[in-house]
Amino acid sequence: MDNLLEIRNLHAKVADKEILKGVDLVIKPGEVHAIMGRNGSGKSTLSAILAGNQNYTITEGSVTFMGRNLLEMSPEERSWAGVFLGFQYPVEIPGVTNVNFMKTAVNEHRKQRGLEPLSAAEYLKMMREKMAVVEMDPSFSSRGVNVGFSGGEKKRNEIFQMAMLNPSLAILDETDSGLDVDALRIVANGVNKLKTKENAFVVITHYQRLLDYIVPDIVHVLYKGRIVKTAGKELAKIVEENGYDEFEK
Amino acid sequence: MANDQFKYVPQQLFACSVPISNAKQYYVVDGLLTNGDDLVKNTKPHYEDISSIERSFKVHSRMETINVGLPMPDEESSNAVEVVLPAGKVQKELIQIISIRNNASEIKYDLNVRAEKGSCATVILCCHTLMDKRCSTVECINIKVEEGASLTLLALQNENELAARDTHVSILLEKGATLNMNNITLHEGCVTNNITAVLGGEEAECNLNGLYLADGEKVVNTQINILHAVPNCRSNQLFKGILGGNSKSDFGGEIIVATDAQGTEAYQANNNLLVSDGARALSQPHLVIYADDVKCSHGSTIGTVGDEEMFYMRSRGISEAEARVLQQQAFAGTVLEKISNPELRERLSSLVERRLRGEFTKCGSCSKHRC
Repeated sequence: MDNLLEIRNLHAKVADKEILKGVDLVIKPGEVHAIMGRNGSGKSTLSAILAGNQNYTITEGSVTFMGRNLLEMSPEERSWAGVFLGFQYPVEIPGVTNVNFMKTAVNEHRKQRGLEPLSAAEYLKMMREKMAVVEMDPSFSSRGVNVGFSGGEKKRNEIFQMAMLNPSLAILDETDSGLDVDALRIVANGVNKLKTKENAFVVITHYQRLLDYIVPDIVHVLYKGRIVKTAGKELAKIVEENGYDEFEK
Repeated sequence: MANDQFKYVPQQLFACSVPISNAKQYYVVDGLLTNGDDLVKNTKPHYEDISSIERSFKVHSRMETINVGLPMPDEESSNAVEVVLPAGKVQKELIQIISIRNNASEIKYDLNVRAEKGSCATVILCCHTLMDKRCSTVECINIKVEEGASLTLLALQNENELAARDTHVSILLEKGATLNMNNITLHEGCVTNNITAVLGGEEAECNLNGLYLADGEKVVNTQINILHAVPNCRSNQLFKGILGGNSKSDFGGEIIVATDAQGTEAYQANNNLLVSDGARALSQPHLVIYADDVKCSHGSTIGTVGDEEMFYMRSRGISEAEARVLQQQAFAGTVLEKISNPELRERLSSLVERRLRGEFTKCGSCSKHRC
């Protein structure tokens, strides 16, 4: 099957500090990848770059998404093409309601595909269905985006947004951080319900805990801006038991 | 007033094709009312009436006694339009006064609004221009809210690029009176809004809110003076501006709390959002407090659209332009939500949205207003 995402020898820096030093990663449809690594290994940088964050400078390498040069695309173009980033720290936008925010996003996606905007009733129906996926109370729809949400509610909101936009590639950046066990289960269930043969997930995490719920096909260890080890799901257990030391040579 | 002195009949030309339900419309063309009745009529400017409103208050500071109060008109206006809301009456119809400029000249007129004892009403003031020529308008709005009366005032300023407008609002609130005023500057060439309010009777409440939108080379100046002359009154101000292009805004706000005005609550906030590199905002809040037992605050901010919010929205597929509009709408929303009448709030929100999108800001499906 064709590759969904191909990252070749990716180097990137922020200010004058080189963070990624040659990342290679290939993701096929239907796969779940986990990227593990210590703080500062470059995990969040990699996800931010894939979503189009302009704070990083690419110095070398390429990223191809469904045959297109991802690095030339604006953040919104990447979203339209099917890339989704679940933020580690979802941003609060006071005054923009969740419902208005997602309705605008869904309708912009539809516009790109030459479809008419959803009617209010159609949108409401879709929103209710997708909120149920993450057991989210409908009252959240009228609140400002992430404003006053608890850590768990913010992460559920990320998965809800993912469900609404139905991406081909979802990158979840430390979605487990700040979650208690119940919230973790709800978020993981949400992801599992949305998994198909056509889409792929990249789960970025420090801990194995999340990977008990979202079982990866392939696990990578990122160290100092490079992937130093790639193996099956058993790698996550090894990291959990022995730490990262053995990969950091 | 005979209509044949105009080239057109304002009632026909400006009749809202999507009228605000339950609104009675009055047309003021170049300062002259064209369709008066018992409620709204043309009158001569009569300052003895205005001065029967006590305009000056003595404020004792620790050092001296100073006189502060409503400004006296320096020069008489040519016309005055008078709105008298009868005592004890709840005005069910909204009173909409549509002021149209159709003459490339300088004019000065007065608008006197008197809410008599115990009355309750909503007055909408709309300003439009009908020609593409330069014009300048000085408007003196004298408002008196008598004991126990409640007045809601919505002012919409929507004129052409060449219009200069100088609006002086003098407000006197008597015992237990309430004024809720929202001033929305949608589109003006150069506008000065100078609002002075005196809380002259106990338990009076004055809520002044404003939103100003400017782009291009436009200039918006705002000066708000609030005087708490007696104890136990409340005042709130929220003024927000969105500035693009090379536009400029100068906001000055002053709250004076007299020595005797214990139990005063007075709050003022001015927030400015700069959406271009060329836009400039000045903000100068002042609090002068001579009393001891008060709750007062003031704050002002000047900021730009947040990068993090922009990236978050764009990463969800919301285009940069759309994300900007959403952020600006959110910013403006906190002022618009102060408009209590849902229909008016929705109308204004939609006008603001279209303005932010750079669309022609006609009202509803009406194509006649030249803005």
